[in-house]
Amino acid sequence: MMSILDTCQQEAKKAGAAKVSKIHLQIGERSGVVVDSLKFVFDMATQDTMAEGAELEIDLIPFEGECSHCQRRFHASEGFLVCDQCGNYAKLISGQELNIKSIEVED
Amino acid sequence: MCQDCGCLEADQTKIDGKPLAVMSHAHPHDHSHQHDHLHHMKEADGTGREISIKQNILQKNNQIAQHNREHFAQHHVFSMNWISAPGSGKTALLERMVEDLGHELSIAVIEGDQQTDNDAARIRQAGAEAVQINTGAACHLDAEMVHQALHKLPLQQNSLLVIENVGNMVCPTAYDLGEHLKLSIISCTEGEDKPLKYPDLLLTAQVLLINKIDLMPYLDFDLDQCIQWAKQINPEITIFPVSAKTKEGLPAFYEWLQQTL
Repeated sequence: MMSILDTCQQEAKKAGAAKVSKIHLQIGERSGVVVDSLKFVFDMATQDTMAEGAELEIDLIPFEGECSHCQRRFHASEGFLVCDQCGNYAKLISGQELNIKSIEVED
Repeated sequence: MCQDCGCLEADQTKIDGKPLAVMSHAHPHDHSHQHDHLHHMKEADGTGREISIKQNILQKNNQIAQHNREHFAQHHVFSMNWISAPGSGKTALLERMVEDLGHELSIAVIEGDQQTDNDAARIRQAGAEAVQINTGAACHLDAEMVHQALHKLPLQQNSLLVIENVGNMVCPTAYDLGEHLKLSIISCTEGEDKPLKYPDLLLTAQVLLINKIDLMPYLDFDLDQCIQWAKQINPEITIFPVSAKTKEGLPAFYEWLQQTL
């Protein structure tokens, strides 16, 4: 959380802004981040910073695999990289993202 | 603060008993590191301006990890990050490895624990160089801690470096330390469903050692089921059932390691 805030404040300062009004994140389903916990600490963490009162938008990126055999792309909701149709092993396509996509700033 | 479990980081960290200095770019390395940021600004419709950042949240850690990677490449060091629950036998396996391979391969170890330098002392006793990182309240090693530890460790050319992470199967998996590969360890006493319960560890590792197989006659541990579940989490993972106690299975792991170096 603190590294997110540090980066956002740095970028806002670089852009000559006075306030961060929105932080937009992309979080993978299998990134290790608990989105609810992130939301829970957000208001507390942003207190007395440039991002106080900012909106937090999170795109949750699904944990997806692509089958090594039939090339089917599927949502690995159980956490298994095994094709839900033909049962062959799959490779990881998405779900480990941990990105700050953008911020909105005000002067 | 750790993004995963919220524990406090860095400010209580010690290396060989001394407080961690703050990372500065004025350290004596004769290579440069690259920082690639993407910035595109555009005017949004509302009152605010949108600034595109497209940056990994752990970018700062990842930059230092990249710096560590360059350091390893310069010294022709192959580095592994060992991750497991506390008590799975990481240090015992390392002691064995130093005893068995130390005469033909230079091995150095960075030990991570919340407190004490017991593990570094065990590795030195076994005959390898070791530096102890004490993370204090933190639950994992990060690239900066490893970077500082590297300055305390005389690395030999063409050697092997093992970073023994803090015993924890969750948070350490998210932090790139600059290593060539992550090695995970599960011990038979933890139960065959450990891969299912802690999939992040298996997903990010290239190798899994299943340790303490000498205890299997006394346990209900189902080795085949454990391997099957591990492969379902990560089809590409290489698995070695081993015993640090009896050395069973270790020759196959050593053979793989020597081919990988």
